[in-house]
Amino acid sequence: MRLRAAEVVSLAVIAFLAVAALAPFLLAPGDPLAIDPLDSFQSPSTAHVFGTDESGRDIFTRVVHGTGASLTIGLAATAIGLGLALVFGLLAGFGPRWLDFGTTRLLEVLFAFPGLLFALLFIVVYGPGVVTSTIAVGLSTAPGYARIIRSRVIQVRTSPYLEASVVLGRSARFRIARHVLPNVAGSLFVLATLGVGQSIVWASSLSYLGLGAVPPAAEWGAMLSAGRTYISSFWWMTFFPGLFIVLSAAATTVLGRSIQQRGRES
Amino acid sequence: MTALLSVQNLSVAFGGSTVVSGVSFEVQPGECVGIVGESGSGKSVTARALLGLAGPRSTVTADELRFDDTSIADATPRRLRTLRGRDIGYVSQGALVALDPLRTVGREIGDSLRLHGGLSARQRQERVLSLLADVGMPEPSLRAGQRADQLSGGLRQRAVIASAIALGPRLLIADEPTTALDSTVQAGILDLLERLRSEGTALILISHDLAVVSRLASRVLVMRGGRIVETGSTAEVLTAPQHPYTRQLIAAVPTDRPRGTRLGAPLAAPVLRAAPVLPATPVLPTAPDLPATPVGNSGLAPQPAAAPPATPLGNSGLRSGKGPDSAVSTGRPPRTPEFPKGTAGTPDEGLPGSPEFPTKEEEAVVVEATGLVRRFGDRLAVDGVSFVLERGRTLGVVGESGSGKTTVARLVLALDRPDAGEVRILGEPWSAAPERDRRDRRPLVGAIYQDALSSFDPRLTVGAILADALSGGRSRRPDAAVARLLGQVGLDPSVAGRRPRLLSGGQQQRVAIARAIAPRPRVIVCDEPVSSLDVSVQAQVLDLLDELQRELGLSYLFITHDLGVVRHVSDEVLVMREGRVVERGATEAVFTAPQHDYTRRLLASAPRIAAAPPRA
Repeated sequence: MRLRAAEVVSLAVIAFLAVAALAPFLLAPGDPLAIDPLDSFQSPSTAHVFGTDESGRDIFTRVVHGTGASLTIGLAATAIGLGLALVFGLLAGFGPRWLDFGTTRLLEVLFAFPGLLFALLFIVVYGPGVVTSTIAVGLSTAPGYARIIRSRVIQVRTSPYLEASVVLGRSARFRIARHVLPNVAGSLFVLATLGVGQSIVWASSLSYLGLGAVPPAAEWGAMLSAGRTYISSFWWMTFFPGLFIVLSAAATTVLGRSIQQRGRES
Repeated sequence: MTALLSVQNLSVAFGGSTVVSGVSFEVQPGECVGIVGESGSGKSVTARALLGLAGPRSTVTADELRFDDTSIADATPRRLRTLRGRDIGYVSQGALVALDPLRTVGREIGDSLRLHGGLSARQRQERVLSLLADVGMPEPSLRAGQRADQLSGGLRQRAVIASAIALGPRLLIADEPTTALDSTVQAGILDLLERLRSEGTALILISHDLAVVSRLASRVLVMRGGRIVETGSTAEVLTAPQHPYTRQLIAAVPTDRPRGTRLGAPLAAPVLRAAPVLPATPVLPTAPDLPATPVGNSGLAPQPAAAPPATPLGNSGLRSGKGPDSAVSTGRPPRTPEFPKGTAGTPDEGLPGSPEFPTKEEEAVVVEATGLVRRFGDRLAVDGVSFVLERGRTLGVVGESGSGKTTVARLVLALDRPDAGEVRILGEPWSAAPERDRRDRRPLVGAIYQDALSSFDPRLTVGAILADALSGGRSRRPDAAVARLLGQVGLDPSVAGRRPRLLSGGQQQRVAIARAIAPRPRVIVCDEPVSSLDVSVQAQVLDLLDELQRELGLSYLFITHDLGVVRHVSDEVLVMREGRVVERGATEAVFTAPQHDYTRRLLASAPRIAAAPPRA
């Protein structure tokens, strides 16, 4: 199998982000919170590749150390969203007709809210913070996933090969475990890779609004928010965290799309 | 008279691979030329090349490719469009999906008139109605306002033909125009084409079915691997085929071939392992206590289990009332329960799927259906169907689409519950039993479907599918038993590592058969198992089913719309129409002396290879 250029770049970006998240000290040995007021507002140079912020903290170090927080929020939110969606999807796809009807109508109601608005509502009720914003993003992405998973479950459940399995005398539990879940898992994986990028953007948006991670914590959205005040004079304070949000979202999305495509082709 | 269409040395290549090479033929005005061959033989590509539709990635070369006085090879796209619209009509393969689902039939047909005809809207409307009437569409003015999904397959095909002949083309190319249609509908379409031809339209008829082509064509081209292997007048080719492939194609047509003869010549079945020639009476291994008397009669079906069969009631086969007493019976002794002296009880070691008969007295009746009724809304899909299927025998169920035959199959497979009546398997309740009780006995009843591929989990390899079936779902690791099973259905053990979708249609159906026999069933419900296969592959699969029946003592409930196939495979036959059994009896009796009008009509419409050339 041959990799396209875009795929190679995405893989490289993801590898870099993975290292940054798991072992940030390898890439940026400094302390992301160490302040140096004399060194504030330095533009990018060899000493500070991405420049420094208002307290003289190195932005490169902060961006690298913020990867873990941002990615964790993105991954956890996606996992929450998909997990909820899987439960809804299986209930709707396998349950009795009234349950399918009820679940589908509920999802339609949730669809009526813009996703981010729903997340904001949740935070208003449960207070800001990293955990609540993660759950909020997870909840607001769930309806979209649930609808896709439901249709996929129904598609597999009514397929001739599931009927063939009934004819062979397999129990319902066997059919779900050995045929439905594995066949749904493929699309689930694609949804997850596509979803991580979106979740990162949403989580960063919440932090930007001051509802997620709070400064001085090194988190991309929070850094954007802090840099906003100085955006006209010191562009690097918002540009580099923003760049990382874009890169990570783009890389996971490109990867998800190409997995989806390869799945269709093969 | 100069030829209307002249093709000299036509070749078509896609990228580096040549799919059609050195094809030459002519079509005279008002003549019908048939092109016969299997899928992949290049017949459709040839047709599309004639229309300049071979596709952007194709390379078409020909010494001559001329329609009337236009060279198709040199024509501009604009000239080609007029040619296609006005002079050459094309009925493409898969006409069932050739109509835009969002547009009415009238608009579809009116389009070609609008683009090429220069008529007013009113004149167009009238022309559309007269065209629809021409192609035998009932109530043309109603139909013109309907969309494709409101029409049956036969009516859609008529609509497509109507749009193809809208501008009175001099040549009509029909690619598999009757495939996927029921035989009575098929006969209607062929009559329509024949009428068009007799009115002066030249016709190129493309089909994998020699019988269809032989009805209309005065000349036949036999294609294989992109080349013409034989050509000549239809009568010559059919009565004295020169090329071995043609002989094979003719031999593979099951119509009028008696039960038990092989369809595929050895040449036709290279993948079949060299099976020993089996005697007409099979050797059933471990059941010496079976009654050696014929048990062909089952007219008294609901008698207690294992009661000795009554004497044959030769005339009961043609009754068609409801109720168990109308069960199929024939005067013919069955082929199965006879044991050559001295060999009975010898286990056949080489066959992993040899049935293990229980030591208790074996039930002769495998499936017994009594008064089955299934209602969908207001419609009675199945209305009082009863039958009895004995061990080692085949019961054919014929009927057109919508006759309820597939619903019967689903009831026997317990995928659906009858609203009234019941199915019993080996004398035990089946449709009436709760799924929990039935599940352990489900391996007794196997199934083979028309679309084998979609009946396999797409993630699994052939080996995993078969290992799963052999182990009752406990394992998916292919082992020696899987290899033996593959051998039994004539496949190489290396197939185990491949995915079904990479196999040919015939191979897929063999895998499906292997899966069906893996749990050692007594009966296999075959729902149109060969309908989507080429004739020669169909013959191999039918031969395989026959072989397995002899080896394993299987019973088949064989559902098909193809009368030729049903005559070839079944001992008894049920003819179904609108949910009812209109005729039943021994296959030969039904085919030679049909009692019911509908059966007679069905038989008359069955395509068979015409011995005499068609009227020129």
